[in-house]
Amino acid sequence: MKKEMKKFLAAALICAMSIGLLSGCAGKSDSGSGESADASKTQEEASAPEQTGSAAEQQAPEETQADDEGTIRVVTFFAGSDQWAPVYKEVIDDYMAAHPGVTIVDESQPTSGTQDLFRTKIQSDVAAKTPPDLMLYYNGEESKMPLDSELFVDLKPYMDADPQWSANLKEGAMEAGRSEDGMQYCIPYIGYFEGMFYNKELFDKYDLAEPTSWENIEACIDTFVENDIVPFATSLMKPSYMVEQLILAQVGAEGQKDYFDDSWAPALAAMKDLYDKGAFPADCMTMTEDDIRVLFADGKAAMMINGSWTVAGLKDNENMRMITMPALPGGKGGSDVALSGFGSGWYMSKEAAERDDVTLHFLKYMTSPEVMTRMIAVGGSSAITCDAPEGASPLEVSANEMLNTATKFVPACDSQVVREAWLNMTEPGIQYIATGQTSPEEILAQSRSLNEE
Amino acid sequence: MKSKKYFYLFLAPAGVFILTFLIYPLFRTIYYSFTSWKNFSPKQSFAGLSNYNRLIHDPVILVSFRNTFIMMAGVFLFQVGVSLLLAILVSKTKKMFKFLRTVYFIPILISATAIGLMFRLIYGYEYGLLNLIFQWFGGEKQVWINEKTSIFLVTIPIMWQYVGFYFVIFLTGMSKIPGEISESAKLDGISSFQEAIYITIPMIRDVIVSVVILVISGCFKVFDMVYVITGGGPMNSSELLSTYMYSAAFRNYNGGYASAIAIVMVAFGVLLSAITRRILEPKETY
Amino acid sequence: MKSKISQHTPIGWVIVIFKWMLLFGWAAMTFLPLYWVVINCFKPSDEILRNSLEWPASLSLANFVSIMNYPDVNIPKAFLNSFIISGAVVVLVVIISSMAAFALGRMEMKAGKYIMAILTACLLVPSFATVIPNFVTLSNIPFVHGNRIAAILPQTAGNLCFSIIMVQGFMRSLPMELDEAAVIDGASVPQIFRYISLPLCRSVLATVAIMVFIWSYNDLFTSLVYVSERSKQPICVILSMVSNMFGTDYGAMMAAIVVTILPPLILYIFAQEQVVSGLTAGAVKG
Repeated sequence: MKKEMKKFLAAALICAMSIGLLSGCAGKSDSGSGESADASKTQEEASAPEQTGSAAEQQAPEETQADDEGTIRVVTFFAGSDQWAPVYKEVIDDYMAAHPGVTIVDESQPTSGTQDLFRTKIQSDVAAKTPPDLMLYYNGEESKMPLDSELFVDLKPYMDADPQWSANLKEGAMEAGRSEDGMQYCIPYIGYFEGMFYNKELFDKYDLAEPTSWENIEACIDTFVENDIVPFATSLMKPSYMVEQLILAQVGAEGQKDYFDDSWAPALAAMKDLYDKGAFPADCMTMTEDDIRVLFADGKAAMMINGSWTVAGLKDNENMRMITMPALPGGKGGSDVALSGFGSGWYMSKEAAERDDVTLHFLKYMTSPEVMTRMIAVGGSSAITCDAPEGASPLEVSANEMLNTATKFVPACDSQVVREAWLNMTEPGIQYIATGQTSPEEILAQSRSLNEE
Repeated sequence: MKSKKYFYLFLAPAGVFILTFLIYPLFRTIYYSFTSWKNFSPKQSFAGLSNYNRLIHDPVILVSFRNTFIMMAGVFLFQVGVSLLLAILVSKTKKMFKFLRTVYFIPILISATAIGLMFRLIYGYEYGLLNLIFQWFGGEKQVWINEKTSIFLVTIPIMWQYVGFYFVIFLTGMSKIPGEISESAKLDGISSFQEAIYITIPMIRDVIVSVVILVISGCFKVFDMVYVITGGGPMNSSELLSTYMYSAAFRNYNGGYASAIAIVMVAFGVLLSAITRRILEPKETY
Repeated sequence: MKSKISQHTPIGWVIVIFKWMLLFGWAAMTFLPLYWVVINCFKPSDEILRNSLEWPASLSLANFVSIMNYPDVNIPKAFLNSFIISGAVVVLVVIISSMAAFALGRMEMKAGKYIMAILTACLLVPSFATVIPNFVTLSNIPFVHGNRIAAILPQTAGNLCFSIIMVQGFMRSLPMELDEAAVIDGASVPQIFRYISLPLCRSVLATVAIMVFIWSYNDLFTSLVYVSERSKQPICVILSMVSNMFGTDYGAMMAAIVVTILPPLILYIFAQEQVVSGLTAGAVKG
C-alpha cells in the first residue's frame, strides 16, 4: 500500500530530475566549449587597442596570462532585427578569434517600443543582483536603476589610467554618462539626433514655401488638408519626438532644462492647435510609429518629427529633407539648437572589475576607433573619434547641415526626467490636451509633482 | 474516502510549486504595494497607504474596472455561449468531428500579439480592411477606434480567439456523459434541443463552473491583445487593470504602484469567483 | 445521433442546414488568421501595413531568410530547447496536477474548499507580477539560474492552478461508488488513484496537456527573462527579435509565426487521436 505510493512518487521525482539533468547537461556542453585553447601572444598583439593595458597594472595581478582567459556575460540591444546586430556579431567573433581564451556569452535582446523585454531582462538581473559583466544600457534618467543598485563601477579611474584609450573618447559625449558628482557610470556609445523631416516634393507640388519658419508651417496646413495630404505624420499614441521639438522650439536650450515649467505650456497648446486644424492623421490616436513612417514614406504626409534612426529608411528618396523645427511665435528655439545626444552607454559591473581585466579589455576593444567605425557605418553618430563612413544622400546632407548650423546641442529631455513624469505628459497626456479635456498647465503640474517625488 | 495523510501527500508537490512561485511572490507584491519602489532599485522605502491612496483617486482605475466588466459580459455571453453551442452541435456529429475540432483550435495556436496586429490592421484608417470594404460600397473612411468604441473593438478578437479553447473543454466534459442516457432519451422521443437543455447542460455543470472561473480569471489577465491594438488608449479608454499595471511597472518603473494595482486585481478577482462559485455550485458538494 | 423524427420535417431540414452553416461558418472564421499569416509571410513589412489582405505579388522567401540570418539565433537548437522546456512542463504539470486534483476531487476534506479558493486566487496572478520575486528566487538556487530549468519551474507553477481546477472538476463528477467499491475490494488510495481515477481522466488530462504545451511553448515573457543564454532559449524568442528600437519588421514577424506554429499544429493534429480515443474511452467506461 505504501509501497505503491512511494513507487509513484519516486517515478515522478526521477522524471523531474532527469528532465533537469537533461537540460543541465546540454547547457554545460555549450558553455564549456570555448575555454579550451590557450591564448598565444602574437594573436593578442594583432588586436591593437587594448594592449597598452595600464589600467591593469594599477590594480590587477601581474600575470598577463589571466587577463585573456575567462568568460564574460555581455548584454546589449544589438540582437535579432536590430540594425547593428550583424556587425556586432562579427566584432565579437573577431575578438574571440584573436583571444582564444576568452568566451563572450552574448545575452543581447533587441529593445522595442511596446513590450520592452530588453529592459525587463536587465531590471530583473539587477533586482536579483546578478548583473551582466558588461552591458549597453540607457543613460540619463534611466541610469538611476543601475546606479541605485551599486552593482556597477565608476569608469573614471580606468579612463585616467589609460590615456591612450580615453583620448579617443569624445569629452562632449562622455558628459552624457557622467553623474552630478563626477562619476563616469557609463561610456556613451552610439548617438542620435532628432528633427523635422519634410517631403520637398509635396511642398513644391502645391507651391508652398518650405517649412523653415512657423509662418510657413501654418500657411501650408490648410492647403495640405484640402488636398488630402496629412500635414504632420504624428502618432498621439507616441508623440514624444514631436513634443520634444515643440518644447525646444518654444523655450530654447536653456528653458528645456526647466523641466515641466509652465513656460512649456505654449508648446503643448500648439499640439492642440495643430490637432484642431486637422494637421494630424485621422487615426492619430491609435497609430504606431511604424504606421506614421509608412505614411510619410508613401508621400501621404508632408512632415514628420523623428530621429536619426529613420534616416536609413528614407535617404533613397531624393526629396526628403531634415531640419530643426523652427521657433514658435515668440519662442526661443530655432536652427541654432539641435536635439542630439547619446542615449546609451557601456556599464561594467563591480564583480567583473574585481575578478580580472578580461571585461575591461573587451570594453576597450568595443570602444576603439576601429570597432566604432564599423558600428556607425550602419547608423548613428559616434562617441569616439573615428573615421566617418562615406557616401551621402540629400537627406543626409541636410541632416549634416542641421547639425553644423547648430551652436547648442541638447539631449532629448525624456532621458533627463523621471520616466513616469514624461510619459504622463506625452502618453497619454497629449491626447487629453489635444481633445481639450485637460489643460496643458494641469498636465504640467501633474508631471512636475511626479518628477519631484 | 477520507485520509488525511494521503490528502496532504498528494497535494504536497503541487503545494511546493505553488507556494514558491505564486504565493511567495504574491506576498512580496503585497509588501511592495506598501512601499515606494522606483526604477527596480534594490531598496524600497515604506510608504504606508500612499499607493492605495493614489489608486483610489486615479480615474483610470475606474475606467479599467468598467472595461473589465464590459469585457467579462461580452465574453460570458459570446465566448461561453458560442463555444457551448458549437460543442453540443459537434458532439452530435460523427462526420467532420476531427476536422472541426482541429480547425476551431487554430486561433489559440497563433500568438495574441499576431492576432492583435491582424485586428489593428483591420480597424486601421488609411489601409484598414473595414475602410476598404466601406469604400467599396461607396462609403467614407471612418476612424473606427475612438474613445467610445475602443473597449468593444478590442473585446471582439478576445472573445473570438478563445472560443475554440472553451469548445474543447466542453467537449471533454461531455465525453463522460454515458452514451446510454442519450440513447434512452431518443427512445423517449425527446428532441435534440430538449436533450441539450435537460440532459447535457446539467450533466456538465461542474465543467461549466470551472469554465466560468477560467473566464473570470482570463478577463483579468487579458493583456497582449489590448496592448497591441490600442495600447490602452485613446486616452486610457480601453485600459484594463492588467495593461495599466504593466504600464505602471515596466513603462513607468513604479513598482510600488504597480503592486498595489496587482493586489486590487487579485482581491477583486477572488471576490468575484467566490460569488460565482456560491451561485453556481450546488450546496451538497462540500 | 440525429433524431430521425425531426430530420424529415421541413423544420428539421432547416435546423440541419442552419447547424452546418454555423459549424462551417465558424470554421471559416478560424481559418482566417492562419490564411492571413501565411499570405503575409511572403510580403515585405511596409507592404503588410499597406495591404495585408491581397495575395502576395511574389512568393518571396526573403522574410524567412532574414530570420534565419539573425546573427545569434540557431533555429534547430531553439526548437530543441522548446521541446525540452515545454515537454518537461507538460510532464510535471500532468503528474502533479492529477495528484492534487485527486486529493481535492475524490477525498472529502474540509480543507479542500480553502485550497480551491487559494488556487483560484493564484489563477489571477499575472506572470509579470511575479517575475521579479521569482527571478530573485531562481538566481538563489544553484545550477538553475539562467538555465532551462529556470523557465521550467515557474511555468510549471503557473500552469498548475489551471490544470488542477480542470482535472478536479472532472474527477469530482465521476461516480463516487467507483472508489467505494474499490475500497471494499481492499485497494489502497494510491491504487485507486493509479488504476481507477487516472484512466478515467485520460481525456481531460490530454486536453490539459495540449493547453499547457501551447501556453508554455508560446510563453515569450518567462522564457526571455528567466533563460538568459541565447543557446538555451526556446523558439518563441524569435518573435521578440523581429522588433527593434526603431520599429517592427512585420514580414519577419509573419515568417516567425509560421515557423513557430508549425510544430504545435502538427502535434495537435496527432495528439488529437489520443484525445479522441480518450473521449470515447471515457464515454464507454463512464
